Amino acid sequence: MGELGIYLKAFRSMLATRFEYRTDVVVSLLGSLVNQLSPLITYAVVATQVPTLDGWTSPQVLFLFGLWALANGLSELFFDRVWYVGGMVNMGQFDRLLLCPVETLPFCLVTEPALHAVGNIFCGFTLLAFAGHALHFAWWVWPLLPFWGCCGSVIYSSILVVFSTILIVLPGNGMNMGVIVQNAGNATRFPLGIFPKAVKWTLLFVVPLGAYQFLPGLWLFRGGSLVVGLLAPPAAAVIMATLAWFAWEAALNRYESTGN
Amino acid sequence: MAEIPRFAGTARVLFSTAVQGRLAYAKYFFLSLLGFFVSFGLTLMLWLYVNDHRTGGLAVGREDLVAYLVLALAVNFIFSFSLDSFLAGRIRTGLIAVDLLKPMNFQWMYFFIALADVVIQACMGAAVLLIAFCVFSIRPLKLDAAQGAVFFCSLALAMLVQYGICFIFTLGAFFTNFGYGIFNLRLMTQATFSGVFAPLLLYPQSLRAVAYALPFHCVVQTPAMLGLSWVPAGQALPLLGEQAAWAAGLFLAGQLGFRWVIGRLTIQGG
Repeated sequence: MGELGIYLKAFRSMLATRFEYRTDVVVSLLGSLVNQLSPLITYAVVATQVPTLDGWTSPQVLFLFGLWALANGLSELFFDRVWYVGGMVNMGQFDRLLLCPVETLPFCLVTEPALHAVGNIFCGFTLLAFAGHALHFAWWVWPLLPFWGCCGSVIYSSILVVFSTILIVLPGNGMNMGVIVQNAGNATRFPLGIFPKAVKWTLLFVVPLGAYQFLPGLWLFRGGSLVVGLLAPPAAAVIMATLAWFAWEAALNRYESTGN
Repeated sequence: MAEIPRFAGTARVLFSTAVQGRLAYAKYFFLSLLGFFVSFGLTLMLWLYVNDHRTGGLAVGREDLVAYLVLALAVNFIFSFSLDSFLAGRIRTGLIAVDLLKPMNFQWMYFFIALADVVIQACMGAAVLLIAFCVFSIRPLKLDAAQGAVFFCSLALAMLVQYGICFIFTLGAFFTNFGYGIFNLRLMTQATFSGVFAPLLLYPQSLRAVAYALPFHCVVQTPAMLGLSWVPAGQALPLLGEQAAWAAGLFLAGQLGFRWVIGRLTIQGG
């Protein structure tokens, strides 16, 4: 069996384990729905004050909400273990991972699929369907939506990996590093033009959480560049995945077991 | 009566042990604070944009809005203990059995552990206010003696309300294997309806009605309004009464809920 087969088998068996806990499935789905509903409510509060944000109408903003939810959900489904790296280091489980005869980063990421991902993916597609219907998307835009969502998932997860490597080098008590990334990502639900230029460029080039929905949105709704709209998301995904890989390897070289 | 010193001694030990545990990871509190700053900065920028682009401005002036968001952030940070996810982990690993064997009321025991978080985070909250005072050239707190007394009384009641909310949500962790759903339900409902994102005054009527029907606004908006003197000390009694009523109701509901839940608990081993 190739290494990819091992990852798939590990992913499938963990997913089956998750579905054994039926109450968890229901509560996690409910939690993820509230997770998406809450920012929509806060956007509704904003929308009652101003009709557009930097010229973006409500359906256009919901397009950004939808892609963020989709990317978030895909990341939680395929790469959620990045949130537990700190805990694994603390509890000594990270040592066990290092003993596995496979590439540690992909194996680590795929072996903790989260059930609430399904709720986020569902919300993402629902919001995108609503936005697409309201904005009369051409037929060729629809297949691009999951593609951008996948790019976003890789970008988001890669940034989480880079931040999680701090927990490998500096063992601590938990998941705070991911929260910083998630909070920054939450901002990309809104058109980046409403933020000061420094924040906008940071979210496009330093931690490119806005590259996979804002740039395609600019192309679709605001007459932006087709090349940027189409190529920037996969390019950012490849660059960030490479960076995450190197950061992970560098962190492993400096890892000291806690010995639990 | 002999029980009181024993209870106080146990509470002190629980509290100081929890404080030492938190301080052992002091650098992570700063990272946690950084996460809050990112969230706050982005919320602030969003609202400043809205304020600048709304014809006639918002119902709350720019300076008042900034002061409110700073104070709401500080209050929210102080009370951001994650009892639900912590307890869910203990139930999952079987460590809950050790807690249940302790000769102390379970709800009170976790109250003192949560209090340790509050005390440490209050120091950080004070730092937030100090930084805001310097950066924004605003007065994040507008207090005279009477208003100060009312504000701190409101903060104490907010702590009780927050603990009551967390404890009730935590009971859900007795029925689940993974704490995410419970934790997120509480966290996101609170983020939406507590007033940490914006004063509830800016919410549409229907959402405001929902927010006032729930206890979350007693945790963030009520102390923030009193701290900014939006409600004078003389008119604060109904607000404090509402907080006290929620705190008592939630505590009682927590006691009853815990009795019901504990009868159905299966320890999963360790």
